[in-house]
Amino acid sequence: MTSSRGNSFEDRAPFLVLGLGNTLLSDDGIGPALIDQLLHEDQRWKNSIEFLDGGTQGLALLGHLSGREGIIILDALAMGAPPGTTRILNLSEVFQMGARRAATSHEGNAGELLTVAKFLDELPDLVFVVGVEPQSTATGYGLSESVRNALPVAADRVRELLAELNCPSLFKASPELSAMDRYDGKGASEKPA
Amino acid sequence: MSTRVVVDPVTRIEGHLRIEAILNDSNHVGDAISTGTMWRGIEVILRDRDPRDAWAFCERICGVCTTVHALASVRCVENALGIRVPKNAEIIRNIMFLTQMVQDHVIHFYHLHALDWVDIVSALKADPDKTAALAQKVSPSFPLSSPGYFRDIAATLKKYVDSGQLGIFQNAYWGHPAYKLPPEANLMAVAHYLEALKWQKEIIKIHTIFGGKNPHPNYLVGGIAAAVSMQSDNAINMERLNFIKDLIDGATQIVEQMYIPDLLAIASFYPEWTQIGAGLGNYLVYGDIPQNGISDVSKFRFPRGAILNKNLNEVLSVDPTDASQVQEEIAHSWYEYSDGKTSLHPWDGETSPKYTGPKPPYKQLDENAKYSWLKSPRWKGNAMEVGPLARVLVGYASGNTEFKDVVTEAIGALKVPASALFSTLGRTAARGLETRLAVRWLLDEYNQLVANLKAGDSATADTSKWDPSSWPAETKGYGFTEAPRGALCHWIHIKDAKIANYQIVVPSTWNASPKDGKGQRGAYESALIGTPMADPQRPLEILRTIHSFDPCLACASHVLSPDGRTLSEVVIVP
Repeated sequence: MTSSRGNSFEDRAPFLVLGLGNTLLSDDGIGPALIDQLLHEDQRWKNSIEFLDGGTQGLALLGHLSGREGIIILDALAMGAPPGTTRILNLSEVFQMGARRAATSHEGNAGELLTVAKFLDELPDLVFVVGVEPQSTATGYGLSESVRNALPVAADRVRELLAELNCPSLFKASPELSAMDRYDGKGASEKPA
Repeated sequence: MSTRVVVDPVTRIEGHLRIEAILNDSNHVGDAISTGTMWRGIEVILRDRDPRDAWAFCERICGVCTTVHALASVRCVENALGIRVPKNAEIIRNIMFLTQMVQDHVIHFYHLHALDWVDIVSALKADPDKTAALAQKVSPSFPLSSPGYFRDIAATLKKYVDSGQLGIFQNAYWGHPAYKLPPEANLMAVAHYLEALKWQKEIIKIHTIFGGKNPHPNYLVGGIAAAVSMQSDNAINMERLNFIKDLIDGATQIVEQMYIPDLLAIASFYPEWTQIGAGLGNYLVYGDIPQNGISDVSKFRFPRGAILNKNLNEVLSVDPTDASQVQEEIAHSWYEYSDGKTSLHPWDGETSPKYTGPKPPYKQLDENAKYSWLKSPRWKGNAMEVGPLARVLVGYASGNTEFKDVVTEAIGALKVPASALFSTLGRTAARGLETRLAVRWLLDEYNQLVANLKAGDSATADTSKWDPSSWPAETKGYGFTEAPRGALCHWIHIKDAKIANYQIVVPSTWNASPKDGKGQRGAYESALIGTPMADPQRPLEILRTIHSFDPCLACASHVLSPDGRTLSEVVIVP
């Protein structure tokens, strides 16, 4: 329908780590804040993983999802747990909670985005949401203390998850990874060096 | 006894638009209140920051409206400092603006609004051969119209529905008696919904190219952040411009051969909706798409002006800086102004929240008290509608032939008078009509850019006033744009190189505003009056009218939560 002309500047990493949230609404900005952490610390991933701050762009992010081997979404997740609690959800768990027709075209939570991508048949098998329980989503720039303190733990969970995903292209592109990082199927106990 | 229908897409944490409609005995809406249930107050975050950084915060105000807030923000700082951006920057900003408008309007139609008119579940009953015949009749030149194509779409849809995860399609009012399309038209709409989603991923690449990245493209006070050079590999060069041309051609095909034919086809099944949802009849447009600098209002593609009482014979002049024209009232808003003032011009605006409503969760609000986190902006004391319908009517009433032509063509195709535009369906149609103009203008702006570059002009920014030492100690500015949802303006007060005050009046504040001190309803409230309800438990008709405005209140917290499944909690309060 649209362009058939190639464009060399569109090469993309096989993996996407996408932070969602509004940085002007305190803990709603947990996704972008996590991206910030990982982006600056994880140089070793740079060829195989794209770290993207998606803000609250909603469906406009669809284009960033397609053509990936794996997607990890970082998002605020309100389950009524203590603030800062980090959870990892798989795709069907996400669909159980957030999937719905939005009341406006502006919602852009992970559920709607993934549901539409699924309907378009553009999701890889490896899709996870790493969610952090917010304390406050009131107007304000910056995270609350409890969520800010939980950032390193949440970032570790993302790193563990990436190490667990036994995906060839992820490791081919990241020669610096030690053997310890390669998941042997026994669980998440072996942390990256 | 009256019935009160509450439509509240509020989830546990988020603050959204809430509508309470009071029905009369014949199940027509007799009164309505529109409520923004969450305090935003972004203005407070901006205080004391560097004015040159304001756009980067403003870009985060709204998920979909990033570019328009950034644009209004750089314009208001440029206005305050007396900066005129170079020609290339003006054109590139126009291209980014138009790209967003086209993308946003198409997605609004297919992803949000079409489902108010299209019954997805009914599409499962469609005959693919008959659907192909219908598609070829509706849009003969659109290539995707074979029976095999529609058979595949039907299979995809069936698989999706059978999986038990209706997802995006759940919680709509499938089977509601107000749905009138035959199954084949419904299947065609589903197919085009999928095409629209695939296409929008492409068109937005224009923002990536000009803004350096997407989401959250880069803006710059004084111009644009990207370099332009026909030869360089590290700038916007001819290869990238050719790619943009392809994207514009693709957008033109989607709009002319898919969106507009679908819009007219669907509209033809709902003629009664040209009689419902007119609302205020007052329209306000700041204007946009400058052709000779932002201060030359006479050269805007979207003309500036106001219309009162549906009077298309007179376009009134508008000045957003005139304190006697634009005022924000708080008679029914949870704010207080100093010294007991009741209304303020945004340059003197105050953002002091004072919640006096019931403790959430509540069953109903009191329309006689304060009931919203939105203020009530008024123009010369009048409640105004902003957005596509306002822009099309002001363009039409200004005698602009581009607007006249698209309006005449559409009302001819639908065999309705021009007055049919004053309605829910008219609002939806106007969005399509300005999208037609937008793709034409997109191509024209593109051609202007290429010509300007070929003529040797590569300037993209005026940074002569970048250093705060060149600024006055104190200055004020305003920056406006016509966002997809309507007139948007930022007002800034700079003191000692810092933001002393920043006020934003967004389009949805005009449209969703509560009543003012004189009891005048806002645009949503007014448009709902008289709406017939077939089944108050399933208030599809309220959603049709509210969605025709493309509401923008949920551009806020987006937290995932287990109760996020609720489309709307409909509470019937006796």
